[in-house]
Amino acid sequence: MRAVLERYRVPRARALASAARRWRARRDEAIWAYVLILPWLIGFVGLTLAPIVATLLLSLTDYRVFQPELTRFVGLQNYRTALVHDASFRTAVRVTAYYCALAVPLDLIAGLALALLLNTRVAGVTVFRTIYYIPSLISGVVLSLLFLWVFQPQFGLANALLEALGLPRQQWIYSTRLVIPSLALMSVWGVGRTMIVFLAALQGIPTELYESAQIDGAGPLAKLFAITLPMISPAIFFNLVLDVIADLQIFTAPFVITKGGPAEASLFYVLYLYRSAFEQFRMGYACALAWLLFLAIMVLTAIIFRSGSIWVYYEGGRR
Amino acid sequence: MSEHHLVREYLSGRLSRRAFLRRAAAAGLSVPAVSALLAACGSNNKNANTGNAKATNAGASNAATVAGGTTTAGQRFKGTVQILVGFGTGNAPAQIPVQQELAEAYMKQQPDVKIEFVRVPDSTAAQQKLTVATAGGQPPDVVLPAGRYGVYLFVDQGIWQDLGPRLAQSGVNLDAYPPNVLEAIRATGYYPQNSKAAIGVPAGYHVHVMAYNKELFAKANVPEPPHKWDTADWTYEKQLEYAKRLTLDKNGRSAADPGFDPNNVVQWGMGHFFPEMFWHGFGGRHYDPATRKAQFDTQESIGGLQWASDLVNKHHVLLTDVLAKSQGGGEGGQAFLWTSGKVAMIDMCTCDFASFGQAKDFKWDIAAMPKGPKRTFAFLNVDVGAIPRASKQQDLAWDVLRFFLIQQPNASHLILDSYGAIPPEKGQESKFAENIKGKYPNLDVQVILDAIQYCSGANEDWIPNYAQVNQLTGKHFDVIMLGQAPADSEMRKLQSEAQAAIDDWFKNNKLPTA
Repeated sequence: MRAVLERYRVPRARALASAARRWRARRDEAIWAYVLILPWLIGFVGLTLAPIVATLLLSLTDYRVFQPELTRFVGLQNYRTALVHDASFRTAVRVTAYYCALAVPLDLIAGLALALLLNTRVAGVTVFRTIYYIPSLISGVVLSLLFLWVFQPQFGLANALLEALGLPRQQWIYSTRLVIPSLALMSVWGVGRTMIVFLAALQGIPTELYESAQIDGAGPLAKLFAITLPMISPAIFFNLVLDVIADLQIFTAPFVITKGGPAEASLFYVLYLYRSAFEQFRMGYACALAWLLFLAIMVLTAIIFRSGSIWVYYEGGRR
Repeated sequence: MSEHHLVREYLSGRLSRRAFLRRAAAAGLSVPAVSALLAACGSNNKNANTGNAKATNAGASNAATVAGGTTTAGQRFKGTVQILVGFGTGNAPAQIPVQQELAEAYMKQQPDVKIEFVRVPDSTAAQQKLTVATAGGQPPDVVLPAGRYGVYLFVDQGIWQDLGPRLAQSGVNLDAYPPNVLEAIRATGYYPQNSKAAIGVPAGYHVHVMAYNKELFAKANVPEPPHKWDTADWTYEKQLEYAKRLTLDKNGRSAADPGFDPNNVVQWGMGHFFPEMFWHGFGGRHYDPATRKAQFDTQESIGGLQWASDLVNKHHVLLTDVLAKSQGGGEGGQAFLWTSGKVAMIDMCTCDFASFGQAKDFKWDIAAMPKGPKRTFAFLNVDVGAIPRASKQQDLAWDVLRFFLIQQPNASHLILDSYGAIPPEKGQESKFAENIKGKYPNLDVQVILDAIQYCSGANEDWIPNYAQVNQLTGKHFDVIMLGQAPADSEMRKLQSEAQAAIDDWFKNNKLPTA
């Protein structure tokens, strides 16, 4: 019996020693991993997580940045004020929603159209891809200053183009009616980012699908709707989510170009949030506005994700 | 505009930093080149270590003239004083040397003190800087200069040190300032009528007069407007009559002629007039402190705004900012059209000589503003120097502010030669007039000297929920001036929204009792 036990003891001891070594290696690896991510972790907790929690708490107060000692807990009053009483809040929501309704489809359609054009095999196509992508790298402030002149009614390029087409000149950003469409049009300048995602997706479509369709007698439109769009639907989904999030948070262009005018026709949500915080010093209210925006974005994103199961096709996955 | 021209304009101080950036970007100047040229802004590094000296009555009054000025007698200070510049004027390159010269003069007298100028490009950035720096426990020690609007935004936040006691202690004779200039530092409405509180020290002021193109008047055979203020028949109606004759369409028909084409105006009778002027001229105002009620729906307020709107939308004689921008010159559209000789009459601030004053291709002069049904109203822009309450070295900050703004000849030197404003002490305005006369010998500077008694800062009076009510006012005035709604209905909407904002303020705040 003892001999039997001895036979098993030695390998078991070896196995235990080996397991302990593996455990120590894993522990060391984990320690190093934490050490290496520590700078990020500190940054995340100190500069992102803590401010997020702070804004949530501040949104429940009438926080006074210059007289913090007078700050009072007001519960949900800031949220109620925004949702029930504040006319400027409603204007900001309306303006932002209108802009999104114009800018998101415009960006997706223009990005896809460009990607389709630049997906062809012609000489110098890589140069064109670069040329169309570069504008999306330009800073928002520079872009805004540039478009201030593009939309200049007297000397601007936009009106020069209209005149060349025999169309009447417009007031663009100086018109309450056209300011939002103008800014939506301006957003197309950054279409390079959308285009590059579509381009990558287009290049991942197996050519056999097009060849089969060709044999079946499909025309270009049939190929587009039956093959291209379904196959790149994950990219459309990705761009849609990013565009909605970005466009709901638009700030630079209205801040630099229109300042919310004329007559608050371009009072975007984040611009109103900024005004509430830094011009009206209603920090608690501004925090509440930020959380309402966050909730709106979360709900919209959830809806898009839920709808994705209907229209997004993942190869090898569920439709 | 060429790059060289842009740079020259900027260096000469004729172009603001903001306008320079905008035009430079439009002209395609590289960002590094622009940034290198404009690199400014001080650091946040402070050796905030106040001396234990107390501010004392130095015996220096605003009347005492000491060459180079003196710091508080016998007191030694130590530390770094940050002066925030950006709430108004003061950052053009041509304005900086005098500020620096005075800072060096002070530092020579107080070798352990360092003065740092923190320069930000505009008032929006200045508001943000002040807010963030104060919240972060690193407030500037002095804000200089700051326009009334910028200072009033912060009044109910309790940010400003009440300088009333220090002014009294230093023996500063406040009677030396015109009453309407003094109003700016009193923040009446927030503080009670008879309060001695002072949120700053006057750092110069500007009056508004009416500039007119003599050649367009002569060509249209219209008599020139009177130079004497309060002339009985120089009224809004008379101004409109002149403006109609001076507004021309592309076919040469005036706005007084049948067949005038309002869609193709090539010369405007009036430009750069603000609706607020007519509003106040009709007797309108924001707010009644006694009843705590907004005053936007009074007959006076509605009448004034409708008059301003009619000048644009009914008579087509007033060039609006929106239209001016769209006609060329961007933000400086009004100045561009005036200097191009396409506008006959403008509201001109004495702070606008660097822009509107550049009209060289035609003869022009200045005249009195016309009378409204209730009063003659012209804008008064007052700048002040203030000390944030959170400054960790109040005594030193006060000593610096006193050296810059109260002691002569420092104050006049700074205000005249750097800010280009009218020194606030009575009797000093003639120095400003002499400066203008030297540069513009054909102008009747007496109009400027007489203006002060007709000018008012009422358009910037403190009201509860100041920023929000002013933003609401801007929004509804825009709607009226764009002709999208009559003043009657729009002003009633404004009244309701503004009153809600005012009531909201009183729910959470109290007015000081002294």
